[in-house]
Amino acid sequence: MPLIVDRLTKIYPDGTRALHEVSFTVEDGEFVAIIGLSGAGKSTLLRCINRLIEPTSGRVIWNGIDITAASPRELRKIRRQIGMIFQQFNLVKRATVLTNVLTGRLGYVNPWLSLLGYFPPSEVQRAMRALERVGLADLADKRADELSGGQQQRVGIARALMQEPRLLLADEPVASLDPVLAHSILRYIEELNRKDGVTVLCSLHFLDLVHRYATRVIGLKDGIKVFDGRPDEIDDRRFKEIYGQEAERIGG
Amino acid sequence: MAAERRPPRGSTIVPGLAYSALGLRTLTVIWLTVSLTLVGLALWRGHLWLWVAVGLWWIGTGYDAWRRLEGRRPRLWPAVLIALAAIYGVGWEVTEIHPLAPFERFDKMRPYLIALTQPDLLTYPTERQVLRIPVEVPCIHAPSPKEVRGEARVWLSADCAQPGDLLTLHGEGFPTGPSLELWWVNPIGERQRILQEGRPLSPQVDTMGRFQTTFIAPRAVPLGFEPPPGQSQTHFLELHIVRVIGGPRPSEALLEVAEKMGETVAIALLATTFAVLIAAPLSFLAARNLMGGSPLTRLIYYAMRGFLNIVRSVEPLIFGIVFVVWVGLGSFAGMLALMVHSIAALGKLFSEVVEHIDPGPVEALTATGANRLQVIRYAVVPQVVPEFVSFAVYRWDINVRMSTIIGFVGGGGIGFRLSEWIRLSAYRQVATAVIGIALVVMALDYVSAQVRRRIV
Repeated sequence: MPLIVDRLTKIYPDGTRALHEVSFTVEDGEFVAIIGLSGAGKSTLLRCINRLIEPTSGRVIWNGIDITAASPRELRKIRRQIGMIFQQFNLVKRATVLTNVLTGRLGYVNPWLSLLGYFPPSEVQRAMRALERVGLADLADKRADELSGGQQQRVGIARALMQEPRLLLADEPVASLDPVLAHSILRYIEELNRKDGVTVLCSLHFLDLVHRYATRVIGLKDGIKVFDGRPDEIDDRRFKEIYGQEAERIGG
Repeated sequence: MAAERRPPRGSTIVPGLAYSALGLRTLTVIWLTVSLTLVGLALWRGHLWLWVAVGLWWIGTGYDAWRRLEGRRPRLWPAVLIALAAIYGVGWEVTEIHPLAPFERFDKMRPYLIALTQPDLLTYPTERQVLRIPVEVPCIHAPSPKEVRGEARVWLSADCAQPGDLLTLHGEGFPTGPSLELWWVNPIGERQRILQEGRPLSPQVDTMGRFQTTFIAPRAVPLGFEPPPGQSQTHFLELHIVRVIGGPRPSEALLEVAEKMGETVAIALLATTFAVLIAAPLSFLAARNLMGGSPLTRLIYYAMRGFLNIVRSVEPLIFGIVFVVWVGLGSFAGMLALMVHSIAALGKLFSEVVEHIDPGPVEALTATGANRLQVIRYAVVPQVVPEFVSFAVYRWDINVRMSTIIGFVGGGGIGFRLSEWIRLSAYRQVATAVIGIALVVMALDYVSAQVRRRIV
């Protein structure tokens, strides 16, 4: 049940061509890193997969279902199986950690009861288990904005866990964090990938992180796929193709 | 190339044409608008100096246009100065500015200022003993002194008088404790306090139990009950001996101000609450970020925006007049007027709050498969509620101030009573009301500032 991205193109209303005919297939259980300069189309690609951004043309097919053709109702059913975590964490800052985690379940619970703020006890238990898994169970009643950046991103992961996702989209999940925290966050994502078999598409800035975690790399430049292969295949020539002639390699 | 296309210098005779020929479109429009305005003002007011201003404006802009044609630096400010002088001159005239009026007519204001230092706050329960002295008005015989005996004795210098005559009253055998008041009662029973220099006259009893005072017989002949020529009417001079029997208690005016102030705050509270309940859902429909999705929602957005802007531009006072006619005099009309205006004002503010939320959580919850209402409930509402509350408290504060004004057109609350007291020249009661309003508004201002500081 692979994820098939077929000639995906996105042109914004102002004429910017963010993606141009990008095609690839991701098999179940892969950890795909998406790399490229800022503005290369990494975020747009991830958001076109769950249609937070409507692609201009092309198709995304997952589990044999054409996401790009789904009705709003079908789309919500699909989205609830696709977890997503963000560079800015995107938590509701004034809500508690527990509430933030529970919102990951909104696609499954009774919509009318959820509007009244009610979640069944079984869902609250599920949320506590998710928080335990990211080591934050004791902070469940804190307001989200009282947490440090690393803790907030772990709440973001717990929220995604609530969806019991089969696919995880991670948009620069560690770019807003201290480099030393990057590994702790990526290890949670890696664990999801290895233990639970969740397919991961993750955009990353640092090549050493790519080498350490990814099983496959897709390189984007100006909205065009310029590389698709294993991390160890990125040599100096490939590196310059992705990042431009003036780029220098730092670290790994 | 520019030189070849240079328009003829003659075009500066009509400066607008020159500007237009130079391709200065904005300046052409401004020139045309100002010229028409000045000519319009001159036609309206008909002053010669306005026609002179029109001429000078024409010359000034012509000079500027000529300089531009010559390729020199523009010099528009003399013309602008002339136009401004003409506009402000007419404005000054129309506004009937009379800078000295506040000083010349200060005596109209004095009673209010004096009353502010002695508002009607407390009364002391009193017992009064009244001595009545008949006075014939006008004199149809030679005046002679008049004596009245009781426990004490008083003499009035004349038993008849014309309004404006000087009368002297003196007495003997009075106790020193109670205060004395002089009242004048006309033949139909209308009673007025005798004043001296605008203040109630209160003769002082000396240690021997005597007093003497001089006053002017007031103009008290009732309209329509004037005596026929050659006849007189019997007025009474009343001497009240006022004994205080007991401690101070709130005056009637104070009690009434307190009650009406409570009514005013309640009107504002209900108006604000209802307005918040209606404006909050409407504000989501008037928020661009939530309604930008499809053409239908965008249509609703524009309709909502337009509705809020139109309603907001109508002053609550005008709604007050409308609702007084519609539902009748009283607090309900005032409440409705404030509510309608507040819905529009809050709706606009709320929608701007919604537009400035962090879009991150909206995106995140949309990605979890939550539906639109769930996204609003969990990603938008928590972000906007504190600011909604803050604006609502501020609005309540505004509405309390506003509802005192609405009262003037019959919308209930303190304003209604205040307008009556002003009409009756009840200075001390006006002072009580003004002080009451000021205190409540200051207190609410403080509370609302504190609430807003804590929330946001």
